[in-house]
Amino acid sequence: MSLATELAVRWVHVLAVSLLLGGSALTWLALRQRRGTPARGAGDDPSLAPTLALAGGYEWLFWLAVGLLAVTGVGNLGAMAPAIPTSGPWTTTLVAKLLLLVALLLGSAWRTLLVVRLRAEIAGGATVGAGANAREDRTPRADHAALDARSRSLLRRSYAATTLVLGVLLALAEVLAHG
Amino acid sequence: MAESDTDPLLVATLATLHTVLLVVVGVLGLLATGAAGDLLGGLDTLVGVLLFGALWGVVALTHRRLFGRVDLAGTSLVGLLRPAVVHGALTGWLFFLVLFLLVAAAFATSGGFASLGDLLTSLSIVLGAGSVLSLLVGAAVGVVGAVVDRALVRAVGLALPA
Repeated sequence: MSLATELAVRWVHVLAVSLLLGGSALTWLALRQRRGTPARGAGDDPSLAPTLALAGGYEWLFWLAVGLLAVTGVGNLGAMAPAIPTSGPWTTTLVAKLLLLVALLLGSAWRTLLVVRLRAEIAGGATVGAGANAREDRTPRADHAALDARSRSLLRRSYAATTLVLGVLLALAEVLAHG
Repeated sequence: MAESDTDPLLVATLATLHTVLLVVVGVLGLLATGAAGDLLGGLDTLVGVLLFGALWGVVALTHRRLFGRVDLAGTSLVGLLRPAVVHGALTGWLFFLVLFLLVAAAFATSGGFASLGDLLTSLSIVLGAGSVLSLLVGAAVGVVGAVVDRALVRAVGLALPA
């Protein structure tokens, strides 16, 4: 791999991680700021709709960045080939990082499906995880009381956990690069 | 469920999840067998990016088709298995076709064959055997994907009952 290609691959990798971490932290902060904020007037919107719009935007960005992260991660590993260690502390750290990434991916898929479900509930459409029968009686729930504190809490905690795990992954990446 | 009812975010999420999990599991397998250095060392960066892009695109395409026909929320795991096997096999075969075309083009331009007949015979054998293998592997991966997807839907349902 040429130096220019290697730099480009690393640049996209770092950019993808920045988007993931910065986006999850900002979404978490946005959810924290909306916690317990009551409607003060006719113009106020205490529903989750604006937050879900933000979260939905982040989810698109998240999965795009994850795809870029995967392909550039393999590229970074390939740049070391054929001298990739197969044992020792470096390999152990890499395996730990990959396993934590798998956990992050599964947890993030759960988080995204939660956002998809809440968006569908607001729109009165098909849902994820509610079961087929639950959809039969569903009516559009654009009213503010429909989405309760539990939904907000779940979202807030899931973005906090995402930010935390991404921080740990970043630390492991730093150890791999410079440790 | 009509195809237009499917949230595109759901399709993109599960397609990317499955694609990236495949890659990560593959890398973990290479590390475990000690083959990472040899395999990745022989892989050109551009070819690697193209292959990943092809896999991602094929998986997204088949997931869009699958979730346009199957309501993930309202279908049991047993009900999901058959379409998952079919679409998994389709995914495996389509990705194999991309691989095959790349390898065939490289082989044909290299001139490393005695005659055109030899080239066509070799490619036919690879195409036949590879198709069978990719259909089987794809179907197996499709089943695993269905189990993961159902588990995720179930977890969402447990966290936020209807």
